[in-house]
Amino acid sequence: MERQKFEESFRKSFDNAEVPPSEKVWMNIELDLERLERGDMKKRLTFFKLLAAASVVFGLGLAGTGLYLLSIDRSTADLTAQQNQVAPAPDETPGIAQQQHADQQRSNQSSAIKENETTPLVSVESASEASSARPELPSSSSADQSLASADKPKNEDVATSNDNARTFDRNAVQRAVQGNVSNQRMAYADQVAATDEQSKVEFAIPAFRDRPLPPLVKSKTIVPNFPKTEPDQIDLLLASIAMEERAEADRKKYDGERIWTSVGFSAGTFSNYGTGADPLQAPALLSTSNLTAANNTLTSESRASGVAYSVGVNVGGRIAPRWVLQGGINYITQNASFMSDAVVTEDFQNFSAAYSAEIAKTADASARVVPTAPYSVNNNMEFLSIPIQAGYIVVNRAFGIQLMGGVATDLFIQNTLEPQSGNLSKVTNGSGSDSPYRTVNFSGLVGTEFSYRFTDKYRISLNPGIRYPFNSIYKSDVGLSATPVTFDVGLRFRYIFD
Amino acid sequence: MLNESELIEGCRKGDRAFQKALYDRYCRKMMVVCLRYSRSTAEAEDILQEAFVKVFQGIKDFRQESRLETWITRIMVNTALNAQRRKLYLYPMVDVEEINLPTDELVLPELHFSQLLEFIQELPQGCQIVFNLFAIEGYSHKEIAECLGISEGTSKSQYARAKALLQSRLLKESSYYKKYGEAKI
Repeated sequence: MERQKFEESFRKSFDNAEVPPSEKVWMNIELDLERLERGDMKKRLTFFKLLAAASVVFGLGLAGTGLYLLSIDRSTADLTAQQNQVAPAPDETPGIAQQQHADQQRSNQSSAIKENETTPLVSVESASEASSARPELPSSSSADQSLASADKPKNEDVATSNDNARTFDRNAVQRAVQGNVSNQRMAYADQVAATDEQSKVEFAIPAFRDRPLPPLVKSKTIVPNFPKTEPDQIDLLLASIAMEERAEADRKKYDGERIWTSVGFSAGTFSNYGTGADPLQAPALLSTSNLTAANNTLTSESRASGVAYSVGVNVGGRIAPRWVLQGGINYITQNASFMSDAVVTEDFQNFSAAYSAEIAKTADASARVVPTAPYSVNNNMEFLSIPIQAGYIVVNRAFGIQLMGGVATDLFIQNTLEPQSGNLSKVTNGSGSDSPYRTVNFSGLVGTEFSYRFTDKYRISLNPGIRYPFNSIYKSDVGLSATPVTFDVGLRFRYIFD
Repeated sequence: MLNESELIEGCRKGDRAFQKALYDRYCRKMMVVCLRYSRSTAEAEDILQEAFVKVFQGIKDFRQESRLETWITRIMVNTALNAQRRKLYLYPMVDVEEINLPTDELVLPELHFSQLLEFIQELPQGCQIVFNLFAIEGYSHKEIAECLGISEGTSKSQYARAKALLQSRLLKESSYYKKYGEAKI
C-alpha cells in the first residue's frame, strides 16, 4: 500500500510536467533529417550510378563481341574468295564459279556420305590402311585418290546431289525472294548442274589440295551411321521463303525510323576528380588565419560533389543503316553543398558568404575575408547544354540497344549560393566577367540507350551515361580547377516522324 | 489545430511543417522524460534530439494501435536506455545488501516536479534507471531485468536503494524530516 502510494504520488507529479527544450534541439533534428534524406538520395543514386556503369560495360562488351564476329565473317569470306580465284572458269561469271565450287564440294561430301551409307561401319583394317597409306603419297597422288573417290559416285548420285543443292541452296533462295527472280534462280541452278561435270576436275584439285589430311587412325574408330532423313523439300523451300519474308518485313519496319524527336529528363550525381585550389597569395591583404580560411573554403567548394538533374528535347535521324546522329538542347542543374569557414565583408558590419567569386574579389579594394565558425553553403549551378551525339545501333528490334558518344557545348547560366547560416543571405551570380565559371565549356558524352518501341510512333528509352568536361568549369584566373564527372540515367520518350 | 491523424499523415510524407508541429506538441513533455533518465539538461536534449529523429523515421511504421504520445514516450525511454546502457556496461549494477527503509507511511510532500526531477537526477545511474522504469513507467522487475540484462533481484535491490535515497532526500526537504528521521542507507 505504501509502495503504491509512493509511486502513484511520483507518477502524478510528472503527469502534466513540461519543460521546454532549447531552440537548437529542433535545428539539430532538422539537420539530422536533411542528412538522412541526403543519404537516402545518395544510396538511390549510387544504384543508378552502378546501373549506368554496368550498362556502359555491357554495351561495350556487346559491341566488341559484334565486331569480333564480324571480323571472323570477313576473314572467312576473304578465304573463300581466295580459293575461288585459284582456278576460275574462263567462260563463266565469278558468281557462277563460286556456286559451282560450293556445289562441287557438296557433291564430294555427298559421295563420301554415300560410301558410308553402303558400308555402315568402317572396319579398323581398312581405315588404318587408308590413313596409313595417305601420308606416303605425294600431294598429287592424294589429290588423284581424292578425285577417284570423288568420281566413284555414279551419275545418278551426282544428279541427286545437284538436286539437293538446288533445294537446299539457301543463298539462292534468298536471292530469289529478295529479287523476285525465282525462275531465274531455277534456270541458274540448272546451268550450274550442266556445267558441274565439266568443271569438276578443275575445281576439285585446288580444293582437295588445300584441305588438310586427316589424322592417322591407330585405334578402333567408330563411324556413326546416321539415319537417312528425307525432309520434304517443298516444305523447306516454303519455310525459308516465309522466314525471309518475315525478316524483310521486320527490317523494313525498324529501318523505317528515320527521323524522330524526344523529350526526357535525367538524374544522377557528379563527383569532382583531379580538382584543386591554388593557394591564395595575398600576404599584404590577408593574415595567415584569413588565408587559411579562404583556402579551406576554395578547396571545399572545388571538391564539392552533389546531384545533377537535366531536362531537354532532342532530335535525331538515321544517317546509315546502323548509325544515327542526334542533337538537342538540355537544361542542366547541378547542386552541391560545401563547408565554408570564412565570410567576406567590406565594412565589417555587413557580411556575405565566402566562396570563389567573392574571395577572388579580395585582390581589389578593401574586401576582407574573415574566419568564422564552419557553415554549410548550398551551391546550385545552372547550364544550358547543346549536345551532338553519334550512335551505333547494336540491336535494332522492338527492343533496341544503342551506343552513344559525342560532345556537348555547355553554356553557364548562373549559380545560386545559399548559406545555411541564418545571418547570411542568398547570392546569385550570372555568367560574365564577374563569374568564376567559364561561360562556354565543352564536355564529352558517352552512354548507352536501351529502348523499347511500344507503338508504331513511340519508343521509350533508358539512357545511362557519363559526362566529362574537357576543361575546368572555373576560369583559369580563379585559382580553382574542377572537372565534375556526371553519372546519370535519363528517361526519354521518342516520337517517330518517319 | 491539426488532429493526431493529420499530424501522422503529414509526417509520413516527410513534410517538415508537420514534423515541426508534432515536435512542438510533444517536445516539452518528452523533455521531462529525457530529463528523468539523464543527469543534465544537455544530456537530455541530446536524447530528445536522437529520439525525435527516430520518431520521424519510424512514423511510417506506426500502426496507431496505441496513442501517439505513448508511442513517442516509448521511443524516448528506449533511446535514453540505449544512451545509458554504455554507462551501465562500464559500471554494472550489483545487489545492495542492507537497506533500511522507514517503516512509517510515507507521503510525498508537496514539491514541484522540477525539484523531484533534481532528486531523481542525483540518484546513482543504475538506481535512476530502475526507479524510472518501475515507479513511473510501470514496468515489472522481471521486465526491467530482461530489458537491462540484469537479474530480477538486482532490479529489486536497486529500486529499494533508489527509493531509500529518495525518501531520505525528500524527508530532508519536507516538514516531515523531524518526524521520520533520516533513512539509513
